[in-house]
Amino acid sequence: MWYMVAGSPGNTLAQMRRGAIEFCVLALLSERPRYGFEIAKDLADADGLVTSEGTIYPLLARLRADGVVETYWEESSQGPPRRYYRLTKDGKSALGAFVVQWRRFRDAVDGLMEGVKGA
Amino acid sequence: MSTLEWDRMVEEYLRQLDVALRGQPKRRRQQLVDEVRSHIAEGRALLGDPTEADIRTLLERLGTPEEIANESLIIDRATDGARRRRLWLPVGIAAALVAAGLAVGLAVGLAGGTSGRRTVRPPASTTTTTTAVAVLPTVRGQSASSAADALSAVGVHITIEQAPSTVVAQGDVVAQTPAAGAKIALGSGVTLTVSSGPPTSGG
Repeated sequence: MWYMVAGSPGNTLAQMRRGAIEFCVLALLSERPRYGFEIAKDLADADGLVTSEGTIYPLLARLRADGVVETYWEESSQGPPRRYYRLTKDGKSALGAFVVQWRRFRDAVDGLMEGVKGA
Repeated sequence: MSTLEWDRMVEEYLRQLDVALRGQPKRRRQQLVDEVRSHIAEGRALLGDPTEADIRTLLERLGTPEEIANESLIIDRATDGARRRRLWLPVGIAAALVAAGLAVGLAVGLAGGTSGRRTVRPPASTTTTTTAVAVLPTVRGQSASSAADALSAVGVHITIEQAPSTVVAQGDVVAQTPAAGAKIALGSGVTLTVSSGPPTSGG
């Protein structure tokens, strides 16, 4: 018997996580600039958003190439200088647009899921 | 644990990462290795005097070098196509739900992004000439759903075939084709054989 498994809840969630994660990074950076290690820890602490911390570095590199974040170096009292990431103007507006759409999306899905019995 | 042993483990990890990133743009490759190196240094500073287990945990939490390298490939491909315009993303997420019943591998190239400040590869390469590959993780013995997660995370399509097994629990993966460690083009297919439990007496 053959069938595609892509509709399984785990897989769907993995896809959604993949789509949302960059905005989670932008949201963290909208609070204050952070260095890579901090971003990795903060995402890992947020209920399984990131399971392999190292994978945020390719993401950060892409966000930087896209011009939504930029980096600068800052001295650290504990060791070598740190590369900090902060939002650019483009990053702020991308995040703002996402937040609006995300809330609508979330409310719509929540509304439908509320009717599910036994959950 | 001595500093020397620590350094050796870390250097070995970084060397593997560098190897896994082979074929990706030189600057990107260097930047990723540097960032991961800093990450490990930060973790080490927090640990003080780490045991071997501490170091292993730190490296395990990073994920394997292959995972990081695969993520870098996936993200670049995605940027070339649908995800270049970030406004596509919320739409993409909604679509992921709507399309829950459909086969989804890595959703790249669905909405062809045309404009761009940055050109990683020529736009035409998004569907045809790219040489991006994924290194397949081991999923044997895992549940079908976590196996599907792991494989879709590296950007390949999954097809499931069921087969009876007296050894492997129902719903767990008996075999994967191609095998773990194989390098295959992103977006190509992997077949998982999932146990349907012991053979029924009548069958």
